[in-house]
Amino acid sequence: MSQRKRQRLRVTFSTEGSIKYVGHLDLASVWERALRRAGLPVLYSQGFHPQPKIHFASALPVGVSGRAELMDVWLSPPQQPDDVARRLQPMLPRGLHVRAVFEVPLRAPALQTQVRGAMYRIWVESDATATAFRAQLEALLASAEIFLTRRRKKGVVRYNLRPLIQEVRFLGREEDGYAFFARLQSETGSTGRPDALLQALQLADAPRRIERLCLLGVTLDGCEISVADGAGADVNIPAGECIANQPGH
Amino acid sequence: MHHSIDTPEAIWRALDRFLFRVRQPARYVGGEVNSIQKNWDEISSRLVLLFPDTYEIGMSNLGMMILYDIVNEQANMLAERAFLPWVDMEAEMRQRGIPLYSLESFQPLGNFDVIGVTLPYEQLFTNVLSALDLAGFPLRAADRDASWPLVVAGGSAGLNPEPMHAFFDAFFIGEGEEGVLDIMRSYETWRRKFDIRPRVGWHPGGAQLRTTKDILLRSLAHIPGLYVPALYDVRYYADGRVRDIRIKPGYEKDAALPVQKRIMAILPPPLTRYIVPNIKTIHNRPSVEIQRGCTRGCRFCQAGIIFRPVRERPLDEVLRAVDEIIDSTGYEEISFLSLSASDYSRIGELTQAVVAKYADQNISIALPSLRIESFSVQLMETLAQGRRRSGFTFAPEAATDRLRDVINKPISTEALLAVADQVYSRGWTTIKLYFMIGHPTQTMADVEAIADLAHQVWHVGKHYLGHKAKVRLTISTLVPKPHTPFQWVAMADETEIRAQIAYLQHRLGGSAFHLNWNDPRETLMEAFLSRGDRRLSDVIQRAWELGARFDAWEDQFNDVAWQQAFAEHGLDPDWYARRPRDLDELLPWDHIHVGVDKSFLQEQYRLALAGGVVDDCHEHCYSCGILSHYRRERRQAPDDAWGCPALGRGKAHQPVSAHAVPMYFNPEMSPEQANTTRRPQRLSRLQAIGEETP
Repeated sequence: MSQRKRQRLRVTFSTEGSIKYVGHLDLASVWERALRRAGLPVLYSQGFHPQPKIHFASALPVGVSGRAELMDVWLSPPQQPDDVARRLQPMLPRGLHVRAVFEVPLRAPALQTQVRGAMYRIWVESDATATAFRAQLEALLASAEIFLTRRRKKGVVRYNLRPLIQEVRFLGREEDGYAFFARLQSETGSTGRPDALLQALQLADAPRRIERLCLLGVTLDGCEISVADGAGADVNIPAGECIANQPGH
Repeated sequence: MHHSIDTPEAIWRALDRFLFRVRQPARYVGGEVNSIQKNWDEISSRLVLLFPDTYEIGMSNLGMMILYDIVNEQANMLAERAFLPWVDMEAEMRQRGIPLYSLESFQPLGNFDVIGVTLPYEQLFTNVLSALDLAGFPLRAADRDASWPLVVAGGSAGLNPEPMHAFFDAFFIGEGEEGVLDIMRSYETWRRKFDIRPRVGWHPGGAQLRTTKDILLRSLAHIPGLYVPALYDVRYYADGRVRDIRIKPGYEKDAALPVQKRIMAILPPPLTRYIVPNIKTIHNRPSVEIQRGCTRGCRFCQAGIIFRPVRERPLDEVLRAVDEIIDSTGYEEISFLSLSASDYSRIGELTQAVVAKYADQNISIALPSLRIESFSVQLMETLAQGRRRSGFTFAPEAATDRLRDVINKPISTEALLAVADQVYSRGWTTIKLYFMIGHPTQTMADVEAIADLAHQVWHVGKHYLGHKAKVRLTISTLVPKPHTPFQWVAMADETEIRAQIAYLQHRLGGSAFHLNWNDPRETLMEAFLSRGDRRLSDVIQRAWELGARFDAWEDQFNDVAWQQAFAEHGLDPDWYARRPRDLDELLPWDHIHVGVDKSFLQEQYRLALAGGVVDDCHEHCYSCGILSHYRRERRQAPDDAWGCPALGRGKAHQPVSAHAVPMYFNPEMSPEQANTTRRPQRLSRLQAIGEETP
């Protein structure tokens, strides 16, 4: 392998509209091809099956859009981060947007290990009264344990969702349903999923719109909260806790 | 079915309420790189290309993508895509009244002018009915007046159009690159003349719209290659055989008999703006068609006949296409498409050029359909470039020299083992072999030979790799296809097929082998659907009503529905699949002419039974009919662009005979002629690629 200079770039991106239905592994291929179309010199792993060196902070569940998702991509030779953003954007499929690109130290810890939680804005259709819906959310928080089952490759797994719910806040009635914020734990091996929350509310099959507002975790220098564009302004995310990035545009 | 959800906005809103809980929802929303969405209101002529299976399968169909590209190139036309939803999605759509819609504009199919259905294989027939029904259309063409979009089929399975004749307004026979534009223009002229625009919910009925539709069909019949089944009558003998196929009185000046396959004299520039799906598809890579057609003449092979003549794409055009595709798609793999890649005259240069350029960019090259010869191993060696070597695929199709002579795929067992030696010795661990059972003249000894050969191949591998060596076998049953020399042959008996598969399972049970085979009932379905006549339309519709759909999917195949449908209509599937035909019987597809004469197929059939092996026709032209039916096209193409000899004075680059002259006869089949061997006329090509001549 050549000893050419390498660079690690952190890309913040958002997904909007129908691209939310693309699963995580497929989305990785989408990025890989977009990077190649943009002619960016992505670094590849060695071996029989060379893989592009792209790491995502956290898989976005199918059907959930993300406002400030994160990925690290290694390039060699290094490029101007602004230039990378400019070249990448036109190569992306409908609904995928580059929000920011900046360089991080090559030895910075892996993104995945830095994520601790995620903030979601959830809207779900429901004909319950506001009082009843609110009570349901409160009951969730008040319970000591919420056991759910989840289908895995090795069969059905029973797990407790409650410790994964860090915060739930009712926002109000919207259209034919209710909106609320949820702050869920997101660590390797113990991740609370927003659809599990809906399952716990007996709303597993109800129409919904879920947006992951930002990932929470270890702070990087110069990092600010990404939820700056209005829609999530009423969420109180402790400053410096969001690993997102520089402000969106 | 009435749909209240009939605008793009309403469809998207309805979908977004439940897509999160269907399997692989991304396949229902489009939005891929290189997909084209034009301004619906500004474009007058609208085509939707429908692939009657899932997105993952349909997006791997090159023909459909070529037409998409060609039509969207036209300023006043648009082409969008539609696929059949999987069963969970279909149920949701039906329950909510969401009609089948296009992936670009989310327009219901009923708002398009023309529905172009891709039909590459017969197992999609019932899916066509599902799609028409889900779109809200009457199933039968006769029940759709001018207020409904025109429904046209194209693809290999339409070359015997008769089983599906009742459901399509027209079938395009042959290569559609120009024909699709002819259809769109002809439709547009008619549409403007009568001021008609199909749209969802507008179906006033009445005689006027039926007459107008008749005028459309009449004008469409003038397009070369377009078969309009409503303009023909078929009569039968009491025993069910076809008595005659005639143009209906009054349409003699419009319709052709036979309808001759349309071809492109010169291959149009290859597709390079491939749509890049956001999800994995079956063939998860773009391909460049390097050659169309095949000169080998394997007698069971329908593709080898229907895609004649052979046309090669110039090397520089292929290389340019590779560059453009990688630029426009970012794919990590690309494949070169042809029926027999080894026969592409510049295959060596091609592989070296792409490896030299792309090997260090982590782009891999796939080269399917290689012949069993050492040159193929060299090619794969070039392409592998230090990557993992997993599988190597060959298709001997039969396991004895005798039977391979019958099917005209002459390669000796000795040569095959020599190639296996080269493959395993270079580090590939798996050899995949394709065999067919049920060839004419096959005996149990030929089936036993499959197991013997598999063991022999494995022992070669074991010598180099020990127990890491693997042999994978895929056993299919011969379906005697229309337009092939075997079209008169009966398909093998079901108990026989089962016994033979059971024998192979028994002999190839160890961990060294992996055996795949097709369900004989599914093979039977393929046989009656491909060899059927017009009466099968009723059976297909009934089977669909009884629940048959996604017949190509093992887990969905519904044998009971098919049996019941046949029984209700007093027909017998075995009569279609397992009845040997007389050579002079009028076949249900005889009014469709693929450019190869029936007399040529008959001669090949006789030679098969005599074990007469005929050379690659690139070496020697045996007048199959292509040159006489496509003289004009041949003259338009450069001399070296076709596998067929050039026409004109002083241009005879290869010998031509009026009859096939076998190189030799198999001694077991024709002992009296065993000594009349003849060397191939032109050895240059064979020597150039270092192959031993037979």
